[in-house]
Amino acid sequence: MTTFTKLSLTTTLVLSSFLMSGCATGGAGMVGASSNVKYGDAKAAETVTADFGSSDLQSTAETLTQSLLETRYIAKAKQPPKVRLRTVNNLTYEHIDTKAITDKIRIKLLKSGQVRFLADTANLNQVSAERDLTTTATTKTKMKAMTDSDYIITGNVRSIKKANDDVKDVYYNVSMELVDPQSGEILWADEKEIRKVTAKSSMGW
Amino acid sequence: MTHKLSIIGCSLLCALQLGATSLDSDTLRSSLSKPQFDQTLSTLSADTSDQDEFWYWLDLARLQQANGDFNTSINSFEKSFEILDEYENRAKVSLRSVGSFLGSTFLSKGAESYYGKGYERTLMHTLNALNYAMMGNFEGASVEMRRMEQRQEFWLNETEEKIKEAAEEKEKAEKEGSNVSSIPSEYSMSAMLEDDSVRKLANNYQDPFSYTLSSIISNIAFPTENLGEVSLKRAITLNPDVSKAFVKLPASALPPVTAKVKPIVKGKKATPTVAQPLQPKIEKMEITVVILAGEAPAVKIEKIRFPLFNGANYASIDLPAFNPPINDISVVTISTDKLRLQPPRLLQTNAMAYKTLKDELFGELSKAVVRATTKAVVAKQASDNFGAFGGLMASLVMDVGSSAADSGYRNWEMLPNSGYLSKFEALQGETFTITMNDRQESFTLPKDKKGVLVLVSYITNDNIRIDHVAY
Repeated sequence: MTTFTKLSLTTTLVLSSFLMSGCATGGAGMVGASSNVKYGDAKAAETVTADFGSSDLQSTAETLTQSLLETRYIAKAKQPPKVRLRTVNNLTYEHIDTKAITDKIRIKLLKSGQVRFLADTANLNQVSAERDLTTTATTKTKMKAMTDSDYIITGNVRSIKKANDDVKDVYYNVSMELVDPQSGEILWADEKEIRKVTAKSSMGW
Repeated sequence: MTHKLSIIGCSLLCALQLGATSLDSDTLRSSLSKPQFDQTLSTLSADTSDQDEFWYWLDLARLQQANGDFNTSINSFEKSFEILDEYENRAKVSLRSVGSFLGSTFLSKGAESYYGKGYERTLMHTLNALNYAMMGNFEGASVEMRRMEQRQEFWLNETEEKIKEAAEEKEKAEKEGSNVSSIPSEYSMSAMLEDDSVRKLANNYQDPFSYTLSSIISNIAFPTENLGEVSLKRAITLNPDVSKAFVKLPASALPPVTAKVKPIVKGKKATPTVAQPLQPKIEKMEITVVILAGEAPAVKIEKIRFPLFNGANYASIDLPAFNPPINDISVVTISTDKLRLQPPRLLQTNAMAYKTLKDELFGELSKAVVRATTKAVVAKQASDNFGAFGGLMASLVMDVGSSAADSGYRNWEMLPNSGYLSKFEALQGETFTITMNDRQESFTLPKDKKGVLVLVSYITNDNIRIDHVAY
């Protein structure tokens, strides 16, 4: 028995009113799909829910890329260093596509022309397979050139959620690090913090 | 006009009947064996009458998982999360909540919409974590385990509200001359609520199974971060038997180290290498076996006679009760060449369900008595104003209404009743055997992986599915 039916039953019997089942729950008039589609500004602030959204993705990529490009290891490098961007760990309460974050950062960094990127570890096998098809022998030296990076970028997304009867507060922290793979030294680190607060309405359906 | 009203009335009754009989609790629970399972799953998937019910999506999600449809199971779980999220984020004064409150106050317990108890809200994320894990997405699985903990916060707030509400109802019932401080002797659950397994539980929403699994999944997803430690400590606090779930292979069980021999070069004699301290080749791997067995107790509304107005009158009150769990197993053994294990039963859904009922019972009893008193007063007024026939009609209308509502009051009936967990070491390529009651299933380990997670879905004795993911 649906919630709606239960409520109808309750209302009918308790308030002794007649058959109020005319108000259907679904099927709001969708005449033509195209009439409901609009293009929006991809960079406009998105506030549909408190979840990690497109605005957060954009602002995170913007802030962290800018900060990274200003670091002396990249800004003052004699030639653009080779970088491998590792996966950003999702340590939040949401299924965030962290690859979208790394992809956006990679694109921004590449566009700057200040760094060169090596294939992801995940894609490395595909790159190797492609090489094997085009060259007869892949020497160890060549393989080394494919895998050796000057720097590695890693990161984490974390979140803290708090709620009471009135408000829900979500705090996101996206942190990234530039690491020297030879020494393990952390050369740069920065973070982007986002806080979202949603309030419960006092009356509603 | 009368004719039209009759038609509308009949249609409404038919709709109620159809809703109730689309796949009712008894039919669902008796149609899970292998020959019927596909039909049951497709009927449940096609049933549109209960798609706004929290329990519907949970039931569907468990069956989809047991069928190996992990992705569709995730989608079904997400639907149930949406329903619960909407409930948790509802306006402070919500018309739906008011309607539900009125229904449960005047009509029947069954008029309330079911949004799950603490243990169900925990376990829906745990089972969904297994869906992600079985698809090789351990990071996604660990997200679900964190959501599991987050979800408990709302349950605790809700429980506090219920305690306050129960105190008010108790006061009201006592003012009207009803004793609501002891469990009615006719109540079928009386003995069950005092069971040792129920008494031993720390609370009604945290289970050691979920925390142990959370610890294992975190360590697989983030091997360098040691994120699983806190969860494991919590699991051991909830049930010390958790430590029995982890078994290491004794050093003597590892294959002997053999000396390297130089390859034979044509025209030269093969000579053994100079004795050097050799590192043993690691051939062991970690295996996690998760067994989800049986189906949880199914909630029902039980009607019992209860004295009102200082025993001057008797009324039929309705209390939530349970049909017992089904298709469960009692003994699990895992055997390898070197080990023989008896994984502990870390998930005891029946005990958690009974514990929740026990914690809420006096609140429910007070509410039921207030409801019965209200009904008795309404019937009396109808009788006073319209004669004996009027009183009878009023009672009949309320009884029919409450029976119709009760039949739709359902919980997560397909939730596994038991969860067994074991993490042990074995040699790559080895075959191990899982014995569940009289059923024996064998599994051969892969040879080139660090570990493997095995999920055994035991729906009935003839309907068992084993899935695995290597990492």
